Amino acid sequence: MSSQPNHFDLICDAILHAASHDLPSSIEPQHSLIEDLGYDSLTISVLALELESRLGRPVLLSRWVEAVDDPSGLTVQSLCEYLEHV
Amino acid sequence: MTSPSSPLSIEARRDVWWCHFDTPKSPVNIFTRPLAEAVLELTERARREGPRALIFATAKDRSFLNGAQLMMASAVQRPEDVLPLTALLRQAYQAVQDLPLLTVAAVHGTCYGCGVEFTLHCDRRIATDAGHTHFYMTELVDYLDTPAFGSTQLLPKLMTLSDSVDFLMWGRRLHAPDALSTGLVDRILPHHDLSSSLTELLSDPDFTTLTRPTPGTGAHTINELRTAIDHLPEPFRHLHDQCLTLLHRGHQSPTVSPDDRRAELDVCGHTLINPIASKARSVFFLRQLAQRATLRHAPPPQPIDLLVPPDLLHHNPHSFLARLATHGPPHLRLLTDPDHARPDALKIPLLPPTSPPSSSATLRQHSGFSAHTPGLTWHEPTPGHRHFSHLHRPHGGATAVIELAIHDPEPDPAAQHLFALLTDLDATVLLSRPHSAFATDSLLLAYLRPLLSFLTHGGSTADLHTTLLDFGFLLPPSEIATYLAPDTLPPNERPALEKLTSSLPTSEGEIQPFLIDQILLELIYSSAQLLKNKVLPHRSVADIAITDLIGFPIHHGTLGQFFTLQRARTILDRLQSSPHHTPEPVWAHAQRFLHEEVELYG
Repeated sequence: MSSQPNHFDLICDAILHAASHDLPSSIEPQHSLIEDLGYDSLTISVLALELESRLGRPVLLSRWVEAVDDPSGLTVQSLCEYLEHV
Repeated sequence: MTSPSSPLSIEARRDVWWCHFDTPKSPVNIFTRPLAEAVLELTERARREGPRALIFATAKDRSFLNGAQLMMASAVQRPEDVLPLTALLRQAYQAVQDLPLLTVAAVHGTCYGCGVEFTLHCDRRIATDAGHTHFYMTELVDYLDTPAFGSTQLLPKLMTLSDSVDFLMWGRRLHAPDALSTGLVDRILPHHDLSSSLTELLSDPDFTTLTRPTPGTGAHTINELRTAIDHLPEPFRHLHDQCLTLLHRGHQSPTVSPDDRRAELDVCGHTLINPIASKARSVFFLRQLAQRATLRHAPPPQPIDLLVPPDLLHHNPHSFLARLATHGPPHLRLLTDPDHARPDALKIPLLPPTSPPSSSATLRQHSGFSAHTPGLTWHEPTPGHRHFSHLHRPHGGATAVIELAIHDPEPDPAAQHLFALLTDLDATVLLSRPHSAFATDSLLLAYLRPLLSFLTHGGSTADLHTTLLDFGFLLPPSEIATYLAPDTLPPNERPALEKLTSSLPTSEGEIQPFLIDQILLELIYSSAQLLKNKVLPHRSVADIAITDLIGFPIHHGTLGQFFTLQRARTILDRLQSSPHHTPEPVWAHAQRFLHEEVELYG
């Protein structure tokens, strides 16, 4: 993540704006969106829209969700890596 | 007694415990792991303290239980993964079934998928008479997998095999009267008086000691049911055949054995890892994206009075609007007299059909209707029966599609409330901005134009139907053609339209791949134009509209996911070297599409 600090910040900002509930004061790369940040599939769809407006291109997070073998693996870091490769 | 953030609250009313589902921070109830743990705790406590009955109800206005976490399905990488992943929920369901006291599911609002399966583990089920209370099995129809929590074995012990197939495999939505007549629920109770009417029912021995006759096969024999599967496109046949085998097994056995459960889980594990299930789940995510792209956060429910002229209300008794008048949710009222409007209600007037919404939009006399308010136009191209009646039509195209065209620069609060309300009722709602035509009409034309051209140039209806079925289009084009007013088409295409609407689906013809190529090009071009002209707010809205309006087959994902630029180039190359006629507009659209390098999803 250290090579992409701006990308990480951008994603954290989108995570903060997409959630309609309280989040931890600091978002860490290892945080699971489901287990630590209280996200569900509805919030993830809002996150896709927030990311889309920041990145200026279509973002489909369904492929990211499908790529892990455990919902706890849907971490902030894995999202950063996914967005870097699409 | 219960923490405020708990997904389950328990209230003892004398010797009956009322247990309310209330998933924190969510508009709907989901059977999450915390809820499963709470149910397990509840059952242990109930065994210790011995209440007379447990009532499972909802603390939410609109949702009883909308299923388990879909993302759990994505985690299944191998068939055997389904066992550990579902273990906790299965344990909770089983604990409810094993309780030595009366358990009642009091269903108010939507009850979907795993939520239905939860109710099957209760001794009794009742449904409220609210219009939005209904049962729906999502697994096969929306996700192309099979259930994991007992429905294949338990449903055919409550309802006939034919009804089980309709409900589980063909996606029939069961509103309270249908749920009662099929045997899914035991009683219907008034939603505004649920507590006292259910309390009274608990002292009725006819209810508490109810025994059921063993259901028969119903309207169709097992061979007829298998024949219906044989007519499905190839990717669906094995999935449906496996499900029917499980249902038949459940129908023949008086009890559910561990082997029966294991067989259901085994099939579930295999269907979950099938690539078509992954494609179907992605459609679900896009559907949520489309809803959020239109309305980020649903406003809290508010009383709404729709002011409707009598002739508009009675114009089509099967329309979605007419159905809302008789079976709508309690906070919505349809009025013909504005003097009867409630002071606290949001009032949304619909003008008489004599006021066309714009010069480009034509009043529908047969396939729907249009009406106009300052800033808002209602357009319902699909017939109401699509949503409310029994449909042998899985996988897309089984929902009502309603377009609300907004004339104001900013979305009208009334439109937002109406969008949220109609979406809750499972209509697909498009909030669009007027352009040269309704967005839905543009998409319908894009689909029909190549078909009509094919027939005009001597193509056979048998080849046309065979080609569409082979790709997976299950909505008959003859029906889709009726959604469009005939005068929308130029006169030279009307004979072909007549030929199309009078033809019957068949798979006896020859497949004409170029026809699918032309349809895909037209649809993607039309979507791109609607986005470019800002008629629709987001690409996902166009995508879901095509899925629900035309029945784009979900085993391909959505059109936008299926149609990459690379595929567009391949199709154009193929069409260029094809001897078959490609209509000039399709050709021009395709060239422009490639020139603009439009792709819905990168």
